[in-house]
Amino acid sequence: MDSTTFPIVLSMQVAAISLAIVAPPALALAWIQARRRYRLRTAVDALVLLPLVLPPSVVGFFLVVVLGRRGILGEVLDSAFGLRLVFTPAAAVIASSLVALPLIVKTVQPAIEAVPVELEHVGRSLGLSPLQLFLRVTVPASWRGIVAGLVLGFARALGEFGATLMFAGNIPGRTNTMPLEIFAAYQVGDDRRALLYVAVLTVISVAVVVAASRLNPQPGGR
Amino acid sequence: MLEADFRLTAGAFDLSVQLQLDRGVLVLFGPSGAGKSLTVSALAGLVTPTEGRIVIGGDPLFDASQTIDVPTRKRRVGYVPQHHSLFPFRDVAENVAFGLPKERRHREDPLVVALLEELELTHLADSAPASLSGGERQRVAFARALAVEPRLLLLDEPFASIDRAGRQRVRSVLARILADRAIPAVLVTHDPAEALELGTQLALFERGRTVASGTPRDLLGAAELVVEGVVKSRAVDGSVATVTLEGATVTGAASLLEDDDAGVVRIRVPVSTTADR
Amino acid sequence: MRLLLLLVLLVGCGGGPSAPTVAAATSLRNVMPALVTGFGQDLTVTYGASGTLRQQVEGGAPIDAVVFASSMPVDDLIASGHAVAATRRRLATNDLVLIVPEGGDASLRWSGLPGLPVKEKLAIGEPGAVPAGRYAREALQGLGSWDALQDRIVFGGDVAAVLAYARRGEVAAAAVYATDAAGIPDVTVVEVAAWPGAPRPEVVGAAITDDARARAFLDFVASPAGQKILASFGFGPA
Repeated sequence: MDSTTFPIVLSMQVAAISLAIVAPPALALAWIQARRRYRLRTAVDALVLLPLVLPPSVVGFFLVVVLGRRGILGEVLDSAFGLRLVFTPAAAVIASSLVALPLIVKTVQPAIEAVPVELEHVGRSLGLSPLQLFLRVTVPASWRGIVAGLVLGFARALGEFGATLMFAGNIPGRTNTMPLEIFAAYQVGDDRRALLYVAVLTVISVAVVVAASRLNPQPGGR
Repeated sequence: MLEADFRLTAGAFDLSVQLQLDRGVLVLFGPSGAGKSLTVSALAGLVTPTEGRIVIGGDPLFDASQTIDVPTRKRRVGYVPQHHSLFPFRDVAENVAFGLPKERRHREDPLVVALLEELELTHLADSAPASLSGGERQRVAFARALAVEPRLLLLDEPFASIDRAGRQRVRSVLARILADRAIPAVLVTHDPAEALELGTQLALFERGRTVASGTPRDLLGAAELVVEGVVKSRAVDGSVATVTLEGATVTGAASLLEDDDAGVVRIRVPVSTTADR
Repeated sequence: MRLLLLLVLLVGCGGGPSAPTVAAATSLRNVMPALVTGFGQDLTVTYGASGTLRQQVEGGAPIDAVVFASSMPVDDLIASGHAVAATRRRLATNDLVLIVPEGGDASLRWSGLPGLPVKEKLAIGEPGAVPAGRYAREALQGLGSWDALQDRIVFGGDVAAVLAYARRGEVAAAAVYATDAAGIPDVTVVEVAAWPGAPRPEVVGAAITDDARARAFLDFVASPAGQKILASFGFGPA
């Protein structure tokens, strides 16, 4: 694979893996926040929203400070498992997962809230376990919102830049996702190269936004 | 079959309930907001009481003193809510078969076929819930609840969202089914005619408490519903008395108006009179 | 209200209606304040990777003179008609060094870099925009190890970022200027790129506009007084 197609393939791989990792916890969180009332609920709400609201440089800094080689967790990972995350494709996946999470939760949560709670009550009375309830009642009743959330999460993971630059760094052939590559190309004045990836990302993002809004029309537009 | 004696606090609302049913249909009767739906939710295990016991078929499903709280899915009770009773993403037959084990979960299963026939739904087996009338929907909901062979049915105002015309028909169907199967049921309603037609026992609810129990005839009977409360105004016009209480207006025969010494006014009104709340 | 507007306008003008702006390479961030003080007149300095600054000049940024860490971006500006050829001159020289974080392998050498364990990284500046990065690439290409190191090289946006990677211990080694590493306690200089054929970093300046003060500043930097200040910060003579 040559150096031109590499960023495209890498970006798609990073975004796909990020989605696979972050989707189950995001969906579980969305369900908990939609259905359960508990003392720390608003705090969890705020915490989930944080990566979406904070500047990418803050997210990136946080990742480096915690998971960097001399970071709080990073040191443990290095000495115990020989695991180093900074400047690896894994770091790009982590950064992308972190910023995709709030988007998925915030899109799926209202979709689950819109499922009449009576349906879940009936499901329970018919003998369904919590997991069966989620898979056989909640998901089919809210699948449009779920898919919209996942699609938006994918797009966000694909476009991650700031935190990725700080945590995964710019290593051609290893961590140079499309957003990073655009910036690098711009810095050296290679506008043609930048434009190529800008075009690819724009097309994908437009497709994503159209798909998401068709699946999950906003209230009032129905 | 059913013995329940519990207390439950939900927000600012306090519920205190004593219920008993051997066989037949126990009607929970009273004005809206009196705690009937909350009681059914507690019996189903959807909410947890603060103290007390719930025993169904000899099995303690809830006992605060022994920290027993059996989850809904293990209680073997059928539940039919007032609204949103059917799964909109499944057709009628799939709804009915929903609670069956995987290998039996299809429209050809003998039990599903029999239930569809019994509730006169065979011609609608492939229909989507959205295309059904209110009465048809609730019949599907009954069929679905019966398919898992519950030992008690919990019906929360199941006829309320059915138009007047269809209501009677569905009531007769239900009465027949309950009698055929000898499954006991708890039925919530604020319609006295319904209570009289379907109920074998009746528990009267008032502001979160079961204040009386007996047969529907005894409590509602040919005669009166006693409404008492703080009087805001009263007017007598010929033979008609209108009394305005806190939050309610009652109109009835002037001859049934009573004062007692404590300054409380009682008016006995026949069951067919409407009380607005 | 009108006073506020006036204040905003003044602040927006950057310290005075006629203080010239000099764009300087990040590697000069420590020595420039001393040079400006020595020059004795008001000057605004903006820092960045030489390539990035070059782009800003070409984009029309209000810059009166440039002082870059390599001749290439200056010559590019002259070729594109932005810089004045007659004012171009070499102002200093520098050394490219290999550094390791404190606690790192002090026996590491330029030629030994391909022998680094696979998980370890080398940080250099982005060669297209950072002269230090280009010098490093030149050095490695000269040693024949550029290809072998391909996916183990992390690019920094400017030479300060490269130094920061090393200070944080995120990389096993980094290529910066001797002047960057001087006096930094948490890195160790292990080798200067001084073999025959190794790249010779130089500091080159040129005027962009005809602002007299900016040109006078360039003259000052080239003068013995300016050179003395540069030497005190570890730069070599022009």
